[in-house]
Amino acid sequence: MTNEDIGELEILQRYPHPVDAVFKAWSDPSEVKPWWGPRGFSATTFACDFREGGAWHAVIVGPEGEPLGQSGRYTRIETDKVIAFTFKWDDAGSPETDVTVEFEAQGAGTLVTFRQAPFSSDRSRRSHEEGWQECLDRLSGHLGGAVT
Amino acid sequence: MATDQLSRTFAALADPTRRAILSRLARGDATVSDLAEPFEMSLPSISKHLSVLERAGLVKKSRSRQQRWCRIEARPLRDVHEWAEVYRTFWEDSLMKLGEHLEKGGTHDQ
Repeated sequence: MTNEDIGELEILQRYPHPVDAVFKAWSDPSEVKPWWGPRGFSATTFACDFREGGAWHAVIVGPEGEPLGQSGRYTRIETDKVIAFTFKWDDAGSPETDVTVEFEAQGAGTLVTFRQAPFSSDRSRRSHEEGWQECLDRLSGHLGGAVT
Repeated sequence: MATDQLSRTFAALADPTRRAILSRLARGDATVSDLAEPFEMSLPSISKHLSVLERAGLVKKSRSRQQRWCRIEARPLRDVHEWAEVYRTFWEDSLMKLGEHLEKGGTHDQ
């Protein structure tokens, strides 16, 4: 099976907040840390050198206190428009994926388009979709107010 | 939330992914990422399943060579076996009756 068959992961989420606030929640480490990680997890570390080519590193801790490290590099940054970065779990053998987050002003709010690829299987993509959707929901909670 | 051991064990086993993880661990220890790949899951998802198994005492984690290793702990499964054993007589009785029935040449009822 080729990657085209499996496809990339895409999640659209709207926030009732202006695009600069949502962009900041993805670019300022002290704003990222409070929502980074799926439901039941919390980030104990989120550090980044927010510029193209700059590195980022995070540690999320699960319900049993087990730390999971993850890191990558920013590959493309356009203020209030796009943040692209590589993503890899620190455990040996984990594959690297590419994440692109696009920001688009829609009225007073913001449409975020989240994409991640490649995946080894459709099932793996769905599992990651669940995790990222939980992250995006936690971002809503962090920003406050209802998601439309 | 189940509080007694047997209920915790059954709750942990009441998920096909967690049963498959146990069956994989029965063939040998594995790291969390070893498990994430064949089960086609994100690391946090597999970690959540492992936490449930760990709470039920079915999996034990250890750390060596910078990796977290998971090992099966079969002890709670003995209680499951003992629990089911009580009912063995029912399924064996049924098989015996079927055997007697077939021996009487009763492949079709009169």
